Amino acid sequence: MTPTHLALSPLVVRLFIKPPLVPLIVIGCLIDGFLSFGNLRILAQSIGTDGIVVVGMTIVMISGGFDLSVGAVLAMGGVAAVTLLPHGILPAMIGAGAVGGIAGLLNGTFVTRLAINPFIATLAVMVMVRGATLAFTNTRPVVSLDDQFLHIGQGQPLPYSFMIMVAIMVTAHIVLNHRPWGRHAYAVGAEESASAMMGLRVRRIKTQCYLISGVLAGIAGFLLAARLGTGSPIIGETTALTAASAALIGGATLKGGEGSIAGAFVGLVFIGCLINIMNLIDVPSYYQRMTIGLILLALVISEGMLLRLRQR
Amino acid sequence: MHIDRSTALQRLNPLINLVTPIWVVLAVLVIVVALFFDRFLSPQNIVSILQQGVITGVVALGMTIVLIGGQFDLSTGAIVVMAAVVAVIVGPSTGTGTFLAIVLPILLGSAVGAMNGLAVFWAGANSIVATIGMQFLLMGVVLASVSGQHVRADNISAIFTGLAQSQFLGIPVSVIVFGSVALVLAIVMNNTVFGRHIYAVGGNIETARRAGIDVTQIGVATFMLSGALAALSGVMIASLVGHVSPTSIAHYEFPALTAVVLGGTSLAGGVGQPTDTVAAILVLAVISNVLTLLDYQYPIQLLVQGVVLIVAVAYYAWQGAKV
Repeated sequence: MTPTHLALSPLVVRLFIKPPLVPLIVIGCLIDGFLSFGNLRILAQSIGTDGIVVVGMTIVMISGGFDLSVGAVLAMGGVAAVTLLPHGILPAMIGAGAVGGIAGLLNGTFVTRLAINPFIATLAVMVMVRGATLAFTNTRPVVSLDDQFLHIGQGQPLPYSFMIMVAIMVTAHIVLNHRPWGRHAYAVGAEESASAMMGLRVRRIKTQCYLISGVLAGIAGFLLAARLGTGSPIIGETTALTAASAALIGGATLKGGEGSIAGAFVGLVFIGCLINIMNLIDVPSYYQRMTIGLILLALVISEGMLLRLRQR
Repeated sequence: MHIDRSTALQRLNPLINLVTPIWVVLAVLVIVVALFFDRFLSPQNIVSILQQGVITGVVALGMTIVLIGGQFDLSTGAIVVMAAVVAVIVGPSTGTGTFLAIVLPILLGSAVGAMNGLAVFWAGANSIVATIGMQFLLMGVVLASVSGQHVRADNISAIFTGLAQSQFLGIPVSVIVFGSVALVLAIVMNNTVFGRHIYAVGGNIETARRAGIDVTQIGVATFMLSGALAALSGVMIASLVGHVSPTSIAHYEFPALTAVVLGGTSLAGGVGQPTDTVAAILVLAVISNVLTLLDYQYPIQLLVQGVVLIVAVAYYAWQGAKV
């Protein structure tokens, strides 16, 4: 809800208040090295892989769900990619997407067919995927020195991961706003029983949302592994929360039926800049973890309080 | 006469409720495993199963209460770590030190619980996301305050070490602590107004509010209880190992949640028994022990836990749908 009595346009709110992106970037410009080409590349790279996950998370949240498993799926995608690399780049990418898709289908099946609370279902899938990945790699990272693969992790002048993210975001934006399937996803999230009565195939749409989220997390894992040259079974611990924070900042809610890709992108850039600035001024990683926790707490508390105000 | 007998039965509720599906599962599991593994029933192995189980078990008991109240508490894993670190930093070498090393973490744990409870019941935040946020915040604070380093205490007093390591009549003290906590909670949940109010809040929060229950107060109390018990578990870990590496302590919230759900506590709230959580903890400890005897490492254990959680949730959902 925007403070309409202040007559602020949604765009101003989006850029200055929730989140305070422009003030943050102004602060960033004062810091030595923030605007350097090298740093902006690092920023674009981290936004690229996270952003692909954010798209999936936003779609799942629009349909009224949540996906805690994306971090573990990201790690599994990276490990799958490096493992399949001897067979070529394309099989590696397809493999990463496919293992992510399997995890997404599991999520979707548990949520829609077994009627399990999405948080619990995806938490269980998260643990299963993490366990399977750790078992498969014997808890050690898998390394690749394939030139072609490492090249995909780079890209000039913009990192490939960032360009792929932009393409995925534009597609998702069009599908969500201008295609029947996207409108159905919003309807299912906003009012599930009414959507079912209108003849929408609620279970199928929700399962497809989880499938998309899984595939995207797998592909993000592929790109991250290409950037690092390593498929690590333990990365992605904070991914789900970062992605959820970006989606929540962008207007998605835990109740479903709301949210947009454009908003999530602003949220993503905000979090990306915040972490980047913290790295530049040598803030230890513990404080970054703390900050994400604080942002998330502030977001859910404000969502809860606004909901309560609206009900009164 | 009839009424008298039924109230007498109700007073015995905790005992009658002992015979639930999960206890049957436990009994069958123990018999089957004992038939296959000779080592399983050896006193040392049983003591090690119990010692392993109770640390998760104390966390799970607190989460049971929160879940009966209709909410989730996933911050417990971080509270365990915080409590263990604080206990070691306080330095349980002298008498006062030992007292503080036990009491201070528990007070801090309930303070964190109170913050969770206020965020959820006063501000109306989604409990899963809010407590995960709290988990990150708290882990960040703990790691920052010790700079991610290992903490160690010197000259730990015998009383503090005894909390987890000594035995009384052949039973580890930690098991006795766990048993008493479970017993007290079973009585509180079934035989006190406070306990009934928690079931009411979890069953239907709006009805409970209209019936005049101070929902916020009850809700915050459940989270404080969960925070305090998670902290107690952290103190037990500190007592067991004497030194703490904050990054190497496992995420206790997940096995604890698995146990709570396996014990039949409803994810929607309003249904559940602390005693059933005890059975579920023992089932998980036996499974984990069998996997260890078969030489399966942590990843497989993680995988099995995820499967157990899904099967348990699906089973109870199916049971609920049948009624």
